[in-house]
Amino acid sequence: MLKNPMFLIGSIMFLVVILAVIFAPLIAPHGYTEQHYDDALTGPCSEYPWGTDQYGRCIFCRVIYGSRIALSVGLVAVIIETVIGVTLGVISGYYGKKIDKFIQFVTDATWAIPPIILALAIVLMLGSSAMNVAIGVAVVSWAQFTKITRTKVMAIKNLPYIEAAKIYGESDLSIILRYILPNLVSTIIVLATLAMPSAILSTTSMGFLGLGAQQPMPDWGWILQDGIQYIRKAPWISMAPGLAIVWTVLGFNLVGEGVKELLDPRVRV
Amino acid sequence: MNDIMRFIAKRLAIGVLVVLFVTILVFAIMQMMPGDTIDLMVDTRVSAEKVAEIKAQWGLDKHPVVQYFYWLKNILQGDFGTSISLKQGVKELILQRLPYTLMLTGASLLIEYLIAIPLGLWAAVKKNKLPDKVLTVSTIVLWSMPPFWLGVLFMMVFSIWLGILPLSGWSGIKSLILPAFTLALPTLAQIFRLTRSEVLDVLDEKFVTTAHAKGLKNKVVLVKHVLRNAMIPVTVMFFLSLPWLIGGSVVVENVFAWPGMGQLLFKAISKQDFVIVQGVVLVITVLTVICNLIGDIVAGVLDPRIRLE
Repeated sequence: MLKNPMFLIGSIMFLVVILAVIFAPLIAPHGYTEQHYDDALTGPCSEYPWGTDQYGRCIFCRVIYGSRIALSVGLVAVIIETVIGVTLGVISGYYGKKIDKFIQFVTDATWAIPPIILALAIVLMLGSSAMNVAIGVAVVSWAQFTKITRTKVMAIKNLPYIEAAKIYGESDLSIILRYILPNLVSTIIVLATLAMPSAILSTTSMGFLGLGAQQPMPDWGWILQDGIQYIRKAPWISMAPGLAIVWTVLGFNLVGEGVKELLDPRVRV
Repeated sequence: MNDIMRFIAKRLAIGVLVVLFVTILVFAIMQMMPGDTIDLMVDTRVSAEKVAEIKAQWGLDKHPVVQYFYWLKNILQGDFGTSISLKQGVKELILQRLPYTLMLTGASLLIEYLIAIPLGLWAAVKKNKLPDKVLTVSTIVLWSMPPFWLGVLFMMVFSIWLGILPLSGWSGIKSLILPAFTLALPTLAQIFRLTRSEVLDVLDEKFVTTAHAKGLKNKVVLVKHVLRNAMIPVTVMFFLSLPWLIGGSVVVENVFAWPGMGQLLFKAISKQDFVIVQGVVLVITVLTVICNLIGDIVAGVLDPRIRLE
């Protein structure tokens, strides 16, 4: 796996993000809310590596601390969408018939609404906060999980040992938990890894539109939006968080590519 | 022929259900948002009687379920209602904005397909060689870029530093270039990958070997035999992505202050103007259902092996 250059580079990029998340207070020379009015809108220099914003806050520090928000909101979104998607997929695949048709209909119908619009409406309904952004993004992104787990479960449920468990009188819930879910674990992990980059893109888009972590928390999307008004005088404000998003998402995507190649021998030659 | 008609009728019936489901869902979400629509319409100084009067006038005093059916009844008569926050007809607002959104999404789809298909074909032919690797990595990089950041980057380079393109808003056809590329580039990766993998699949088919054995030139085989067959899923994808792009342009429209439906919808959602939201969502959902249907039919027409289920 380490021979795959994409996977290797992706892992290193990912590692850098993790280090930023863990050691933010050690890396950042200032606090993320510290205001230095005398140095407002200063360009990159030794004191402020990526310059300052209109309140004289250090952009580098805000972006470094922001990695904590971006990563945790993205992760929570992926966990929620995994739970929703897998639950519906298992029910749909295991019980089949009418309940399957109904779940399929809901999945397809939800797809008819552009995801970002539905997510926006849900976040505004629940109130703007980092947690609710994660929920909003998760509610529009579980379909992938449902489709794939459903197909997998349909293949597993007719295996002899599950038939045997049924004859022994095991309940459906116990069969699902003891025999079906363990078979799904590797699929779920891969799906979740692949879902992470788009979750980060969606949650930071929400931040960009003004929803999410409350000010003055350093939300990458919001720092970028806030910097647009100073784009002529201080372009670094918007550039820095954007680069951080590209770095993180690219790292995940490269790791995902490596994992996919490893699992799908057709891609490897 | 009869089969096709029955298939279309069935899909249209499901489509109507989808539209109903979506409008009810969105209506319910809008109702559950904190705050009362009436507060957005009138000042806090207005007397309670006056507020009640305005509520009655707009039908806001009725039960939400009743309100939904009023809305549905009016829609069926072609009446989209009047916006609460803008005090304008929703149909007029949509008709005003729709051309801009269609222009933006149309231009961006054109850019996407014109760039991605030739590149996908090239990468497939050069599989695992340098061009393929470079293209695959570059599309992953593009795919990782948030459109809002790409937009700001473009604004900085082309409007501020080089000063050759307008910064934002609409001031003639030149304004279209930056938003269209911003919308197109990140999603280009998908079309590129689809084209590449489809071409790779087709290259293994027996009729390609036959075409080569007949002594046809490589170029002729690639364009007439390989690309033509590989294009079927790509064409279907085209129809499937059309309505999604309309909604997906919310962020890009926001960056460039583009006067399209995405901006209208975004502002309406934040102002809880459910009359606009319902109207726009209805238009998008109906477009989605129609485009999906066209996508399925086109797939069947292009590839007789696909049986309509």
